[in-house]
Amino acid sequence: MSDVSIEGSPAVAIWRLAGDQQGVLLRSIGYKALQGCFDALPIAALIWLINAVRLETLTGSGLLWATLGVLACVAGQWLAGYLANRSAWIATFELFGSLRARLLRHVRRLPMSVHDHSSTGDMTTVLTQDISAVENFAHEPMQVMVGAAIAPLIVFVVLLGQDAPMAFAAMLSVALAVPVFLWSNGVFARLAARRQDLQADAAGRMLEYIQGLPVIRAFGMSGEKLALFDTALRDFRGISMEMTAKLAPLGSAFLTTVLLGIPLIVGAGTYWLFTERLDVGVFIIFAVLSLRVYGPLLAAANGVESMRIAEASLARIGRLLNRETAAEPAHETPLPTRYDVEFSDVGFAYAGADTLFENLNLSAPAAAVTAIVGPSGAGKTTLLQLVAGLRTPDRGRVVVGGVDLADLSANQRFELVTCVFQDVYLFPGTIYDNIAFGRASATSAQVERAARLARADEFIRALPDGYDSRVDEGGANLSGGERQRISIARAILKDAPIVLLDEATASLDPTNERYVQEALTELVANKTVLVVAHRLATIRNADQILVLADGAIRQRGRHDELLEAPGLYQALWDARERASSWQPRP
Amino acid sequence: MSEAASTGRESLTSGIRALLPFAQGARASFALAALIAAAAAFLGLVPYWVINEAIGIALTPELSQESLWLLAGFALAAVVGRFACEGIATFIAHRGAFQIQYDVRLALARHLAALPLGKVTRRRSGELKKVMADDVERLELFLAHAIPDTVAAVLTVVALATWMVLIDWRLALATYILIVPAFACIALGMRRAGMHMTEYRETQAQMNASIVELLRGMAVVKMFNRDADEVRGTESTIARYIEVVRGYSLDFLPYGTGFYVLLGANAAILIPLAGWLWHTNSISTQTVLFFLIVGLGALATVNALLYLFANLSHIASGGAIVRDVLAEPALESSNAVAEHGIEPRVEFDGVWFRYENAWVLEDVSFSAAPSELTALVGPSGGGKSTVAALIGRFFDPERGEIRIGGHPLARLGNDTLNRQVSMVLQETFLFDDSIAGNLRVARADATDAELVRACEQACIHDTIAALSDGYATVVGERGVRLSGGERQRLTIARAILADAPIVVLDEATAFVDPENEHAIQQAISELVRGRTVIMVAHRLSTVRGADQILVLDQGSIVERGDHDELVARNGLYAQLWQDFNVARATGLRAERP
Repeated sequence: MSDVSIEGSPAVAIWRLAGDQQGVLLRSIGYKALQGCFDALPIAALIWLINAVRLETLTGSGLLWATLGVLACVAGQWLAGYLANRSAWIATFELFGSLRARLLRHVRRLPMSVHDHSSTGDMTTVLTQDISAVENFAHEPMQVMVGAAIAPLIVFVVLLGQDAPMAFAAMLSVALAVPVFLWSNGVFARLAARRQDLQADAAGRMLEYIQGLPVIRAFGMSGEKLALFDTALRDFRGISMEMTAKLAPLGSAFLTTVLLGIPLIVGAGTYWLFTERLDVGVFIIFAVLSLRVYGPLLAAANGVESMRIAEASLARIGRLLNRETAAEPAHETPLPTRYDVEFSDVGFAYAGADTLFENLNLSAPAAAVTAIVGPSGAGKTTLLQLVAGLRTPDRGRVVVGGVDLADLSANQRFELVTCVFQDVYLFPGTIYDNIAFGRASATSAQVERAARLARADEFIRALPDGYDSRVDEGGANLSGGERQRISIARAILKDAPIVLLDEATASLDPTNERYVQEALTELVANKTVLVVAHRLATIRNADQILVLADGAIRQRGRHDELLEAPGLYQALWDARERASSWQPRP
Repeated sequence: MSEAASTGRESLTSGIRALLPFAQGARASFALAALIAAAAAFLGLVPYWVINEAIGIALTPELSQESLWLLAGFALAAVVGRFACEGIATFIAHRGAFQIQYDVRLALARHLAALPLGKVTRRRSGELKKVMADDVERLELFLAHAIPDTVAAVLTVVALATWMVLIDWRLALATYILIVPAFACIALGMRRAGMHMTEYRETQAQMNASIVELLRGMAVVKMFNRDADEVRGTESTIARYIEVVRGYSLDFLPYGTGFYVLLGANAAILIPLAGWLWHTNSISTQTVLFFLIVGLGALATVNALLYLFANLSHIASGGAIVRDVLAEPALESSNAVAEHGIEPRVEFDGVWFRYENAWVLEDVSFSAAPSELTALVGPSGGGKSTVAALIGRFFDPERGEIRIGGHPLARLGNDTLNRQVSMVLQETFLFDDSIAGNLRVARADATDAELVRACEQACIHDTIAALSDGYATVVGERGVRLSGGERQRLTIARAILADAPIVVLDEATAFVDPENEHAIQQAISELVRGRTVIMVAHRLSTVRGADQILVLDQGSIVERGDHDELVARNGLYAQLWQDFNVARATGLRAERP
């Protein structure tokens, strides 16, 4: 992936991102300049008319020609304006469309660890809101700003032809306004950054307030009584008011400086008129045009705010584009033919956290259940993720059937394993689609067989549309147990040789729990199974139990063996047995 | 919305009607800002007058230098004065707007807390946050910008037009006549683009939905090696979007560009007409120049006004959403009952309830006696959690009555009800605040010793004491992340601190990390001691000893009694009990015989 630098002004960044659309964008700027010319040309007719009435030389044919000229300019302006807008719009649609696709392809190649909750939200923001913000800026304000940069230039050239010193006098105010603009822009950027932080903070507190409403209501802490919430709102109000207090005078100063051109033209004109350097006719022309030169500049100032928004969005887009993609092996290695799993001297740490595994060694035999138990935080789930290739070890090797997972491509690794984790993800679509997703080429007989084995066939057929019933977003119209059985059917269909299971802790109703257990039993038949085990029966029946604590396997063996030796396992088992027979008593 | 809003006058007025009430809170500020903006608008006209006068002087044979200098001075003063006024108006209007945003957000916060809680929790939290954060934010555009800008723009247009008509009505008409074809042009463009508008919105929504779905499911998609297909699918929605916007822009742009060009094209009418009128001696040189000065720029001011109106509909939709949320009926409550001496007995009397169409509870009646454990069991979807939610008055029942100590919930008043009932739910919620701050939500005046005592009872004190900042440790986004079990115990400590006589447990033992389960159970044992307990449970072993078990199926209590009675009855409970034991005994086996 080429490094994308998205610094500096949004216009420059958009230009860099444009790629093969740069030509179209250039064309649009060319048309825009042409439109500016057609906009400025009627000034000639205007000047002619002023002189004609002043010197009483007006003729009918002259008037006709002037009128025709203006009409031609209007037509030209329309055509050039249309072509400019068309090129600009189409270029930006294409540009941002391909940027979306490029970001998606990039995300696909990122390491799996990015797909945890928080970064999914961030990526969603970038790919929907941020891109739209930049797109909107590129359509409207950027076009206005480009126009604003071109139009005064053309008028200036026209004025130069009339009288150079006066033309410079007319542009003096614009030149003086530039430092004022840059200065206020700097103040704006500083305050805007602070305001954005406080705004994000306030928005976070609002979300917290809404999510915490059950607690807020239960303890009567609504509105300003919740100090954290109120303070965040007050701080945001404070910075907003401060920003206005500082920026209103600066904005006024900028606009004042630009329009100082009007008294400046009158003053300079008067001076040169009486030093007899300037002709009355030219004086009048400058006086009339003084009212028209500065308008586009004032319009451009309105675009600054959306430029800031675009800038912030571009920075986030750039950060995502610059995230490192996962490494893929240089050569294709054939898939293993045996499916035992082995860790040799695996070291792993989460970014910015203490080492989780120093030298982890273990082996899980094929066609057997290996149960992993241990205190919370010991890294049981991480261990499964290492087998799945969802995370890669910092050191050491994870080996399946003699093949190092690091030598396999991501696609190959995912062919080896099936994961059944707690949070079941169902797509919006039909139940059939959700199961068939497990294997690209599945026939409907295979899908239904998988559903039967997963104890899902019966409840699916009882739905009004059977297999064609729609799954709402997140599967909200199904119960937890039903969702789990659909995901198990999907996994059965995939039929990967290694099954990774994070046993559900949240409880289902007894009937659903029974069905889910039966479905899982079908799924794991003749597979290499690694299971983070919470249920006593799973642990008791496992072919091998690994007790994971403090980054290493502390004990291993079958239930009966481990129970006899004093140690961690005994303590864990005791606690679980007591927990499972607990009854509250008022 | 914007489709309707961009076409009719109806939506403009209804938009203003939705927004104006929000201005009430700082009426004086906005009136003052509008007044100053009006002054700025008049000062903005001064340069036109100055230039007109200056040219008049330039045309006279004996030029008056003094007058010209004076005019330059006037122009200077007008420009400085105009933007000073604009700055002040901006400042005043923004201050008012920011104050109102703060007030509206607080009002929303208070109102949300007074709504039936279920109405809030059944909505996505992101949606309500959007109302409180984004839709309220948009009000600024109306309050701080639209009010003063509209006043200024309307005054400028009216003053300029009047001035022109007074000088020469024919040329005044010529100045503005292009508005008619310009509007015809934009209307035509809108009509042609309107055909694409629905399609545009749909494809954009599809594209974004597809992107969001893909990102949310990316982990699963990758694991099933379906990422290439899925990315291709999403790319096709992007391609479709580009195609639609391309068609839209090609259809709209000729007219849209025409609109803007026409609004700047009155030179094509003014030049010949003024020239001809002058040629036929019906107007003076001064009048010609006046229209060339003032008339040529006049349509730009109309354009500013149009721009404001076009934006207003967009802003108004935000205002309307905020207004609708504020208008949702809150729960009625009165504080008619003295707080002391309420017997902690919960009674359901013929309660019917539904969220939408289908009944979730049908004629549910029971009584939970003080210091007894009442368990709610049954298949999922049976209505157990709804019963729990109704006790906390997340909703009011549609028929029947729920009483505590003989008093209907609505007569208890919210604060009193909250002091009677503690809810411990499956989902734990902690604020991004210190541990002590989170605990004091339950009782603001609790002493440090009381916090420690509650935490000891909830088996969480040792964990807190081991943290580097102890009870001052910040939890949540900016601080230490607690495990699910630790969070659960902290919320139980909070409930112990609140000391309500009735405790409702909804799947509170659905432990997050099983290694903590035993500790959580001990915490709950402390919490429920001596209180009225109503408990939703799936794990039937926990409720074997309950004083009363209510079996809910499809919204009705189908069986009630204690464990032994229910097992002996051989009904639904007995079936559940059997499933529970089978599930419990089923272990995973890889080899198959």
